[in-house]
Amino acid sequence: MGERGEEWEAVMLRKAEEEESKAVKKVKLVTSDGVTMEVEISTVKEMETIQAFMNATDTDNSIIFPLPKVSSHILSRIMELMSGEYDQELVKRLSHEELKEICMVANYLNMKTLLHLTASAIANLIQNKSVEFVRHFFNIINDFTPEEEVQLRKTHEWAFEGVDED
Amino acid sequence: MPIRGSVLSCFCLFPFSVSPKGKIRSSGKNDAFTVSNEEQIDRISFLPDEIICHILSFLPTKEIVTTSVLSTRWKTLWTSVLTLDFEDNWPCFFNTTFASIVGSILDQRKAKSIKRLCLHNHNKSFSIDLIGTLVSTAVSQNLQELDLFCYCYLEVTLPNTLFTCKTISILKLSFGSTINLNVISSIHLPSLKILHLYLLYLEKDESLMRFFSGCPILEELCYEEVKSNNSTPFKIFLPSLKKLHLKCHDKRVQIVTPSLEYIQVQETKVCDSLVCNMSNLVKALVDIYFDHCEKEYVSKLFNGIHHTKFLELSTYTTEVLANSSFGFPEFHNLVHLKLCLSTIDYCFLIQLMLTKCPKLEILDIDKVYEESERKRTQPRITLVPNCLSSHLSVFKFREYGGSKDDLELTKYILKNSKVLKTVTIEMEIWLEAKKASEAMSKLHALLSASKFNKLSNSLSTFTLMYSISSNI
Repeated sequence: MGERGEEWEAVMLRKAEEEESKAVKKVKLVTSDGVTMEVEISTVKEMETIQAFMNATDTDNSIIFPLPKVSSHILSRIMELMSGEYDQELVKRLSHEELKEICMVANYLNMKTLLHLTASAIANLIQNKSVEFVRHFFNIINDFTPEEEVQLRKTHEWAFEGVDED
Repeated sequence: MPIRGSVLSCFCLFPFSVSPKGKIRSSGKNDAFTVSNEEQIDRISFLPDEIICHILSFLPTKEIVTTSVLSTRWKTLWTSVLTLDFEDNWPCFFNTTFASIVGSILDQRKAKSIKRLCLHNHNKSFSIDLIGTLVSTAVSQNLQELDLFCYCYLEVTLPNTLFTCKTISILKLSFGSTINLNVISSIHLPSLKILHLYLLYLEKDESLMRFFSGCPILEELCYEEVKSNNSTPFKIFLPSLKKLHLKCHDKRVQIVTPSLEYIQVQETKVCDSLVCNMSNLVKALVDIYFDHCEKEYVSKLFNGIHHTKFLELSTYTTEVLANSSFGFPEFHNLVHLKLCLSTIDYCFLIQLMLTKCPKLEILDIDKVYEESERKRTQPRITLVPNCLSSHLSVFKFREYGGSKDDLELTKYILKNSKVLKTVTIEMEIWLEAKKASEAMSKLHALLSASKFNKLSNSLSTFTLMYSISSNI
């Protein structure tokens, strides 16, 4: 086992050296809860909102970008999704709240692939679900009077045909 | 006890794992997801309208309309969704009722464009005029994606404007009836990238050739069960095409695709349809069947795809290849070979194929089911293929049943591969626990034996998987 351990150390050392020699320009993202996350410039490429800012500034120094709407928890989830090449399996493991928040952030940072993926995942979750389920899912407060709701259901009667209320 | 000692050390050296429940996934990154993070997440009181409309755009229109009763804010949100999706989930309406509903939806829509129009109808009577009206409305509103799947039993004529639509990038057509393209005066689809033609009968082949010549940047073509009443051979030339899915019994069709990167030939009665040498090919999935008089076509097909990096052969294809003395060309770029097998006595075929794939790194075996064992009829190949001594690093075997052939193949690979790094063997799902444990102990023995042969220098992961099925 000892031999194997040394070999592993050597591999890690080599990796660290390689990374240093590449000297990739890093971007610092500051989240809403004050955590600074350093990411590679290639990661930021997909975040079109930040990319547009970077194209405009064009500096050689490392860039600090505040993200007041994004928590460190959500940002790390996004990083995981990106490094996992947006695997559907990873998306399935997200909680509903995480999914909604990531969708918002994807929209805010203009990340097209991520927005498409999370929006379709949410659509999947609410498909064929009852009105009550969808209200609960989006935290919607029903502000219709019972009469108004009945009236609306009548207006679009065809759409409610064959829908199970559970 | 030197033998036992070596078995133990093999357990220590390899991250050897037998999972009683389901598959083992690579550890690392993904684990973060399973650890539920109880950090305070700001609950979103609501998502902006823009995002809600985006989410709703993935749903059928019928369901989108039902969101109007959620709350006053949602009452008219559905009218801003950019898609119209009439899936086959409509209650049984009379034609006129459906037409009036569609009319009222179009009247109420606030969205300025129809990005996607989808109309699926398997058995209801749709009026063809309604299809035409919907398509022309969508075309006039910057249509990007059209998906028509209707069984009309009547001849269909689509509006002229569809065939000169500048914005459309995805077009999927399936009618199960005759489509008349001859009356279309001009075809020019400058943005069309994806075209799926499925179950179509064409009046004339020329109309199809004219159609394709009007798609200058077409990248993906799905061509399934397209027929016409002509009998002369014809050629489709698609220089920009990257991805092709072909399911065609028509021997007259020839598809020339010099830039192809992905090809899937499915259930195709082997024909002359693929004629060029595809030098950019990356991935090829072949599911064909043929008899002895068609060998010539088979060699043409394999010669056409021999540049590919990834090759997958279906069960049936592997079986007929094993039984015919067909000369397989050399696949000089092939890195990943996936074989679906049901046939017994496949060792010979695999050995034969390995000699034709000098750069093979990944061998993927997928057993479909096990037949009773027969006596061997094929000779063995004594020469070790080059790929085994210098390239093969991954060997995967799914649905391992523990038969003589299964064991022999695994033994052959373990014994002869010099640079093998990862071996993954998944036990057959319905295998009895007793048989599975027998098979696994045989594999353990094989592994420790190969350790003696210094194979362990390169092998770093050996994984056996066994899911306990519900029938035990």
